[in-house]
Formats: sequence, C-alpha cells, structure tokens
Amino acid sequence: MKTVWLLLKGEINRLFKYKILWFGIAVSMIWVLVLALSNKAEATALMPLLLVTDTGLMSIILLASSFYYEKQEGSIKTLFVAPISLTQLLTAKVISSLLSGIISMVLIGLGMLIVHGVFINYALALIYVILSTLAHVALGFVLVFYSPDFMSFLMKYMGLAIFLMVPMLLVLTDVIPADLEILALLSPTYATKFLVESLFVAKDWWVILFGVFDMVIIPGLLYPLVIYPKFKQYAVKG
Amino acid sequence: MSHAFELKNVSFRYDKKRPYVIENMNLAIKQGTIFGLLGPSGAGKSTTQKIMSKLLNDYEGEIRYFGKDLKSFGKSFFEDIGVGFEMPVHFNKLTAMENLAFFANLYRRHIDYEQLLVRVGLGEAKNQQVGQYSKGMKARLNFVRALLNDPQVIFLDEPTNGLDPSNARIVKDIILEEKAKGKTIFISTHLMGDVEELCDEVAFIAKGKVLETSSPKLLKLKYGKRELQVEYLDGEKPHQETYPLDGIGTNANFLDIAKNKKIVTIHSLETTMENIFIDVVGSHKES
Repeated sequence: MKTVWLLLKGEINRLFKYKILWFGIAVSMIWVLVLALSNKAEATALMPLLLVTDTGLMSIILLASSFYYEKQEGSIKTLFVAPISLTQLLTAKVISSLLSGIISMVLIGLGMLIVHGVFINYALALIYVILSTLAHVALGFVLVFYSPDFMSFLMKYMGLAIFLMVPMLLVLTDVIPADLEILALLSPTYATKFLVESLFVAKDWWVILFGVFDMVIIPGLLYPLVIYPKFKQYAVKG
Repeated sequence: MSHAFELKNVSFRYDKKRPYVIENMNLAIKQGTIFGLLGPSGAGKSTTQKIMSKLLNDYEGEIRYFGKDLKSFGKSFFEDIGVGFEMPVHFNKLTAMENLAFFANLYRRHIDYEQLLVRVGLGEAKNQQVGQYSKGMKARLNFVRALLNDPQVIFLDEPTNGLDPSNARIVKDIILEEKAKGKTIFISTHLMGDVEELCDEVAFIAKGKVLETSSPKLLKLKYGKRELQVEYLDGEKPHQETYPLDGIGTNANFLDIAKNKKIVTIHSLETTMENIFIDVVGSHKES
C-alpha cells in the first residue's frame, strides 16, 4: 500500500509539473464559464455533455500525454527495474488518471450550485465519474499500445472519439428510437451522458443499471486481459 | 568463487515472427567481478542486459541468479540490482534530487545519493531540471540512479559514453570501488579502453551469439604477438627492429642495441582490445 501511495504521489506530482493536470483544470474552468453564461435549463442540458468530455474523452488525452512523455524520457523503463509490481504501477496510474475527472466534476458541480442553484447527488456523480474515467482510460491504454507515437495515437483517437460519439448522435437524431436507447449505452461515452442526466431527470432503474454494468465490464475485461499483459511489453520495447 | 549469473542456452526474440536477437547464449559471471559484454551496435548487448535484469521475461533456456532460477524471483530481485541504462531515463521536468528522491523511496535501503551526485560533479546542478542537463550530465545521473539502492549486482550499459575524460575517470574509479566492496558488475560497451581498464572477464557477441569469452589478459596473449619492437638511432639515422620476447635477455642483437645505441622507443607488440574486437567480431559483423 505504501508503494502504491508513493507511486501515486509521484504520478500526481508529475501531472502538475508537466502541466497535464493544469491543462485539464483550465478546460474545466472554461466549461464552468460556459455554464455560468448559460441559463439554468441550458446549463442542465449541457452539464452531462461537458462531464462526458472531461471524464471520458479528455481523460484519454491526458493519459496518452503522460504515457508518451514517460516513454520518450525512458523513465517508465527505470520503474520496471525498481522493486514494484506491475499491479502497483498500474493502480497508481489508473487512480491518478481519475483525478482530472474528479476535479472537473467538483468544479462543474460547484459552478452549477453557485450560479444556478442546481444541487445534484454528489456521491452518485462521483461514482459515475470514476466509472466513466476507468472505462475511457482503459480504452485509452489500448489505443496507446497500438500507437507507436503521439501523432499516430491522435489519429486513432479521432476515430475512437467519433465511434464513441456516434450512438449519441443517432439517439439525438432519432435514428435510434427512444425504446432502443439501451443499445446506445454500449458506448461508455453515451452511458456517461445518460448516467449524469439521470442525476437531473428520472430514468428507468434497469437502464441505469445497464449503463453502470457497461462501464464496469469494459475496464473489468480490458485491464486484466489486455492492459496488464501488454503494459510492460510496450513500455520496455525500444 | 560462486556465480552471480549463469546463462544456459538462452535465446530470445521480441516476436515469434521475428528472428532471434539472442541465440543459445551461455555465460557465467563470477560474483565480485566486472564482466564486460562487448559487441557492435545491434549485437544483442542491451537485450541481454534487459533479460538479466528481468525487463524481458519470455526467454528460452535457463538463467540462474546466485544458483536460483531467475524466473523464481519476484520484485525483491530489484532490491538487489541496480541498472544504468544507456539512454537517459529520468523525468525531465523534475530536478536530479527530485528524481532520485522519488526512486530512492521505492527501495528498502538507499545510499546518500546527494553525496554521490557531488562526487560525479552534479552537486551544483542537483536542483536543476534534468531536461536542462547535457548528455554527459544525464549519463552521470543515470550512473547515480544505478547505485541508488546500494545494489549487489550492477548493470551498466555504456557507462562512460558521452563523458569527458575526467568525468569518465571518476565513474571508472567508482566502478572499481564497488568491485572492491564485493559487488558484481556487468558492463555492456563498445569502448575498449574501459574494458581493458575495468573488466576481469569479457564476452564478445555478434548477432546474438557469444563468439569468445575470456579475460582481457588471456585474449591479448592469444591474439597478440610475443615480440618486442625497438626504435633506436644509429648515429643520426633512425632504425627499427623486432625481436621475439622469449629469450630477449640472451638475444645478442637486442643486447647490443640496448648497450651501444640510443634507444628512442621500446614496445612489446601485444595487441590492443580494439584489434581483438575487430579480429573476433569483424567477420561476423559483415556476414
């Protein structure tokens, strides 16, 4: 536990030093400003989308920036010759990647409360943010493993982002009818939007449960089956 | 003397579709010695070091670390070893002290790294971001990182590469001091000067295969000529003669020159490690 804590402290310290986390915070502040300039109804409609952007798509970019920095510096290699396990290293990396989403949720939540007086179930919001980040970061890891450099990653990321956003567009344009919305929940990005919306608007409990299940199953499968076996191999290569 | 490492028929490839990078490698590294792995670029030196330091695990064959199967060791193995990579491996936006403090905390024990930083000439730059360091400074920081946990076995990949002669001297002195403490040191390099000065035993490799293993002294005897070359002045005219080293004390011609001529230079014609390197590795490199 002590080692994970040390690694986590190191990760967070570096996220600040490399200005990765500052970048995330700056983006969240822009969202807060956007919400402040919107009326209450617009802000309530916008908030799930903004949280999706920060905890989902942005978390993948932040993970990749940190990973490619470490790869470029070779520092990740030297961690593998220190007395730490891969599980400890991955745990620290995954927990640190949650930070940006949590900060974003706190800032956006506070903005909504102060400017529009909108109060949400923060405990539930925190759980959704964590699940969303875990699922998206897991996809981010896979993307990183199959991209030799940041440019190649960005190209694949664009594809992934479009792929994850398509269900949202299909629902918005009624291509997917409301009664089949559950299909769109297979996209963790749509599932995040749906779950955050459920903090404002009543939704069927079983659909919420399906969304949660989707966001548990994606990291639940990817971490042990793909990320754990591939992580060291990718980090050490080259 | 026991062996720190024994490699038996070790082969490795990064991918099943790709050729072997290391093939049937056999090495035995005695405890408390400095072992040099020599070879041209791409010979498999760094891969061998990565395998021995457990960075790469999917090798074929057997590696024993102090008599036990290397694969049976967990993360405690890393308390025992120190690895100095050829390329810089530090967080560029952190200072040298911040980098070393981060890594030091991961170990059960660590040395006074600040003192070592001063010794390798990084005392004044210890609070400078590593990204601002020169290549030589980064190499010295890598060296300090390798010794951070007071390891029993030290892996050094090109430890003096990019260092000026005075800093290279400091690093080599520290390596010899570590050996004097009973540490086992594994160096991969292509700098033959370092090899001659530091290594008790060396192995030449090319294309992942061990070509020759011996001590630098024995290699010099094997590949060198047991001859003596004398350059002398006969009046104003320079002359050069070569005599067999065996029986030199009774060689009348040599003794005549030694007694009656003005000797300019006198050298034994032992070969250099550079020449041995070219002899041993050269043909394999080209083929």
